[in-house]
Amino acid sequence: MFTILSLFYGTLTVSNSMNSCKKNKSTTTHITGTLLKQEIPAGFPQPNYTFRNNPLTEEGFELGRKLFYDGKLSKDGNFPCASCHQQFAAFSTFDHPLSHGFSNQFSLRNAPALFNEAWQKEFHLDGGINNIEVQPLAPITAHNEMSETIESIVNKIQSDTSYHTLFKTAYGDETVNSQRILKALAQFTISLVSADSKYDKVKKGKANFLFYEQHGYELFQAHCTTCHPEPLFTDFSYRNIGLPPDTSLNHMGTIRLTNDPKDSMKFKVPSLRNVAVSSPYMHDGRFWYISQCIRHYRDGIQKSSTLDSSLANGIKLNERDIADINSFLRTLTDTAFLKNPRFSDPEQKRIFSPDVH
Amino acid sequence: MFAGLFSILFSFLFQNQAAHTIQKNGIIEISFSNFVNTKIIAPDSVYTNAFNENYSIRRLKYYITNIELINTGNGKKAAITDSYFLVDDNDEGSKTISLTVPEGDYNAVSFLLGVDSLHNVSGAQTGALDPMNGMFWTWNTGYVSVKIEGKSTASALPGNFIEYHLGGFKGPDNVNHRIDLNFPSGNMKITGEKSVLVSIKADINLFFSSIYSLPIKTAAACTSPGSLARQYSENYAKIFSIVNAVYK
Repeated sequence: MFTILSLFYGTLTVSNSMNSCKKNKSTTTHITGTLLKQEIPAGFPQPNYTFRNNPLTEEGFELGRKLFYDGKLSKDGNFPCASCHQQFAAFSTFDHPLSHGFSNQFSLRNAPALFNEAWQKEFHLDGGINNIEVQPLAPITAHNEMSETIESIVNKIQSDTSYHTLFKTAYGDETVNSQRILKALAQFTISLVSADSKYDKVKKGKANFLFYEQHGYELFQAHCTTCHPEPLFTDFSYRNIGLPPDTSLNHMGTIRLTNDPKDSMKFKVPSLRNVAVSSPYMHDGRFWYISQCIRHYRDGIQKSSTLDSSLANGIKLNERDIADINSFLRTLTDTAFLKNPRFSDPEQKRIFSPDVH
Repeated sequence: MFAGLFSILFSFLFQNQAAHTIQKNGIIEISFSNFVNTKIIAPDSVYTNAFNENYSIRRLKYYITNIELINTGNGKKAAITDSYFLVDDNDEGSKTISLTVPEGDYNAVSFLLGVDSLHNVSGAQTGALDPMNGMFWTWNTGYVSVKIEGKSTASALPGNFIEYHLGGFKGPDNVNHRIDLNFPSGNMKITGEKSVLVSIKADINLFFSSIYSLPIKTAAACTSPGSLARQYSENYAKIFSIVNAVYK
C-alpha cells in the first residue's frame, strides 16, 4: 500500500518539476529498449560508472557500437573512434606510437586501450576528462584527430536514415542530439569488459600458471602492485615514472591541466591487462617491447623532483626476472575479449585480426 | 476491509492533490541587457574601457543557472528546479528568461553565474548545457561560464583578438559566483494573474576593472581555468544591476 502511494506521489513530483523547466530541457531520456545488466566480474570492486543516468539497453549498446565504428564522426570520414581503438589491439592503436588523425596529423599521445572503463575515475593520460560520456568530444573536436564539430556530427547522423530505427528503438523517437549520441557511445565503451584472461582462469582455479609465469607473478606482486594492483592492474593514480621528456612532443602530463609544478611528467597508470597486444608502450609509445618497459624500471629512471618516491632506487631485477615478469604479463591477454563478435564492427562480417600471440 | 483500504488510499490521493492544487503559480520574467557604460552592445560598436583601451565585442555569452526568488523579509526562498539558461547577446530570445514560480511576495532574485560543479561532472547534458552550444571544454572537462570575444588595438594577439573563455569549477579555480540582486521597488507580489518583469543590466566594462585591474594590454586572452580566470570572475560577479522590477 505504501509503495503504491509513493509511486503516485513520485509521478506527481516529476510532472511538477517538468513543468517548471520546460524551456531549457528537452526530453531525451525516454528509455524504451531491452534493459541489460552491467557486467561486473567476480572480484572486481564496485564500478565508478553505473548507468544510473543512462540505463543500459541492448538497443542503446547497438547504437553506440554503430557510432563507434562510423567514420561520420570525423571530418573526412576516415577516422571513426575505431581507427585509433582497434579491437584486436584491445582497443588501442596497433603498432603505432602515436595515432593518425585528420590531414596527415598525429595525436599527441599513445592511444590508450579501452576496457574496464567503468572503473576509471577520469579519462585520458592526463586525467582531463571527468566522465566517459563527454570523452568522445575531445577526439571528435581535436583538429589533429577527428577534426569535426558536434553540430556537424549531429546533422550527419540525423540525415543518415540507417540510424532512424536505432534511435527510435533506443530512445523512443528518432531525435538525434549530442546527449543521445554520447550516452549511446558510453553504453558501448563501458560494456567493453575484459576479465577472462589466463590469469583470471588461474584465479578461479580453472587453469595453472607455468613455472616461470608463477615466478613472474610472485615478482610482480613484490615489485609492481603498488601502482598496478589486482584485479584491475592499475590504481588509477598519476605518477612520474622517470621517463625523460620527449622534447619533440613537449608533453609534460597533468601539469597541462593543473599548472602545478608538482604534476610535471605525471601520467595516468595504465592497466596491464591485455598489455601483450597493446604495444607500443608509455604515454608517447616510446617502447615497442614489454621487456624494454620492465628494464626501464631497473636502469632507465631519470631522477627529478616529481619522480614517484616508490621508484627512487629503481627496481632490482635480473634478466631472468624480467623474462618471467614478461611471461606473467602475457597471461593477462583476454583472447575472448579481443575476438568477441559483440564488440566488432557491426557492418563487417568478420573481425580483421592479425595473428595475436 | 478492501473498502477501508481504498478509502484510505483515496483520502491520501486527495490530500496529495489538494496540496498541489493549493500551491498556485505565477510567472516571472527576467530580462538581461548587455551594455558598456550606457551604450547597448552592438556588433559594430567600439567601446573604451577604464584603461582607455578600445575594444569591440562580437560574441558574449554567459550561463545563468540555479535561479532562486527570495523574500529577504521572511526568509522564504523559491529555488527553480533545473534552471539552466545560456544568455547569448546575439540571440534576442535567449535574453529573456521566463519562470514559473510559486505565488508570493518576493524582493530579490539570486542566480549562479556559471554552471555548478555537479553539472560539470555529470556527463552528457542537453538543452542549455548541450556541449553543442560552444560553452564546453572538451580536453579538460568543464563548462565555460562566461565567453567574451572581440577585437582591440591593445591586443598583440593575431588579428588583434581578445578572447576570454572563463571557466573552472574546482577549489580555488572556481569561477562560478552566486549573484544576489534586490528589487529596487521592494516586495513584488507574484500571482497567477499578475506576473513580474525584472530587468537586469550587465556593464561589460566592469569585467576589466571592477575589483582587479586587468587591462587588455596585459591579458588579451584567458582560455583556461586558473588564477587569472578567477580574477576575471571576481570582476564579472559585479557587472549586474537591476534596472527595475515591474508588473506586466
